[in-house]
Amino acid sequence: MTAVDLRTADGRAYIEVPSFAPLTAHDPDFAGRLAAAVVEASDDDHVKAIVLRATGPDFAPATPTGFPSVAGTPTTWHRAFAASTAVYQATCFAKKVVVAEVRGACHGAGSALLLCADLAVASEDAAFGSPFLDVPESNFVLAALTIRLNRAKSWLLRGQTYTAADALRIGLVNRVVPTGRLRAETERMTAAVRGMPLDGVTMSKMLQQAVYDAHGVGREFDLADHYAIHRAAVGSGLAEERA
Amino acid sequence: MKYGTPESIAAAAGQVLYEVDETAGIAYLTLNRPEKHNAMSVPMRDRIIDLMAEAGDDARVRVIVIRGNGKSFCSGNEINEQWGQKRPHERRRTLTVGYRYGADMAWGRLGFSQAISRSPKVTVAQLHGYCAAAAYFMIACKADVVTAAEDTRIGALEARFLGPAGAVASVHINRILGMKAARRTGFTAMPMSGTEAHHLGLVDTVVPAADLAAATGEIASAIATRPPGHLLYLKSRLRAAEGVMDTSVPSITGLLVSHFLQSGPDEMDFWKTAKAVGVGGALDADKKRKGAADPRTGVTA
Repeated sequence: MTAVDLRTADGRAYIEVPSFAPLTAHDPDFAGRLAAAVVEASDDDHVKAIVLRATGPDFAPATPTGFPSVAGTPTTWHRAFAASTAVYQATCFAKKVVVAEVRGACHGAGSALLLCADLAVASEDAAFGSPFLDVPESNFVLAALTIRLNRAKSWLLRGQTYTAADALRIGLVNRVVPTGRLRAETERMTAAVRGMPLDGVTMSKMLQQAVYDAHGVGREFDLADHYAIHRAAVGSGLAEERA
Repeated sequence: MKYGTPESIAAAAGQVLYEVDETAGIAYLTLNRPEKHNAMSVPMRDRIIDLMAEAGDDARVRVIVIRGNGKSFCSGNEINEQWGQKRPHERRRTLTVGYRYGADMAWGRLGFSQAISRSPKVTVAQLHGYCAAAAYFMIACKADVVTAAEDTRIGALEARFLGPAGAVASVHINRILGMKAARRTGFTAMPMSGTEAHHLGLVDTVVPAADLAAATGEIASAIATRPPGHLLYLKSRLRAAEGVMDTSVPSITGLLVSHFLQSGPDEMDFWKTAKAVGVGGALDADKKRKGAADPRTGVTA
């Protein structure tokens, strides 16, 4: 069982895991505990910022998807990954400011989670892979809002990996710093959040939900089951497999 | 009913070329009316719709590259056509005429731009020279991946005489460029360079003109080598997400509005001038207007 550690200090909650790769592998237990940690931190009146951090060298290294069958999609998979209480919507609609602290590889669910975060700090060695093939619950509308429509389309179709410098240029992350300064930059950014009134943070996050909904973020989350069944059906994607 | 004269309908087959590189899995749709900067007549647009359907149905095709022969990618729609203007019994441009124009060309869900934006195959637009008006908002802004030469001149250049509404109000253009840049293209008619369009997010890859075909081929080939089932999956989720965002349907209002423009007392009446001296003469007269952006001038990098 992969550890999900939650601790709070100085107005921040730190959710630390070895990496977020188990989300790409579609481990429902890991997803459930991660969602619970986000909700618990979100409900804590002493917390204004929630930091998502990998303690290993990579935020989310590439890993096989462990994708469920078509039949399994609407049940276990839905509860753990696509339901409104599941990890992505819990993160996207959290009441507090969510900060992704990314170093090393960020593939699959790592990028899907990054899109759900409010702010992102990355180390210079960070690399961002497209989440859209192997993480059907990833939200394309968030990508289009974050990096603009055509860049999001190219990311989805070309499947290229963005360097940290590219990610900064296109607006996928807010800051890029040398690896040794990553935690310090996260502290600096969350200190600025901590300086805001608690109700102001919470109310702004609630207002942000209305903006998201107007743009289609919630509707895109609703389509996750549809995407997942289709993704399960195409498997490796090779026509001969279907023959 | 097909619009167009017998001549323009007969010419369309040679004005839009089509070939399939079966080995690479790439279809090439090439605009071939270089003497008019590849301006698209109605029969040309009808042929593009038919060819997009053909490529969509062809299991060999995974990527469709849209490009132009000659000095430009495409200058937009052929405006020197009676279609879209009034019919003999109509005394002035009416709502019916404007609606017919908008519905046939863009809206109507059968329209030209949906043939591109809703293709089941990956679409790549390869821009050089001018990419103006309908070529900008109905091809370049509807393709999945856009490549461009650095000195391409891109934008709603027709806004000089047709007004800016279509370029400014379209959801998809605002999503692609950001609102300030979308308004700049619409309200000033100043072209964007390929390099600037890359910075703004419209263009995926920008290269010197001499390297454009090779760069586009490299991107198209790389996409075409992805497993076909994955491409179908990714395209279908893209179409669903664009439906959610309302970015696959261009605004009809701009096209409608352009049919009811009244010139100010000190302005050139484009259509009246065109009636007197032809569309070419009207375009030349338009370029001489004081203060209007000249699409031929240099673009900012």
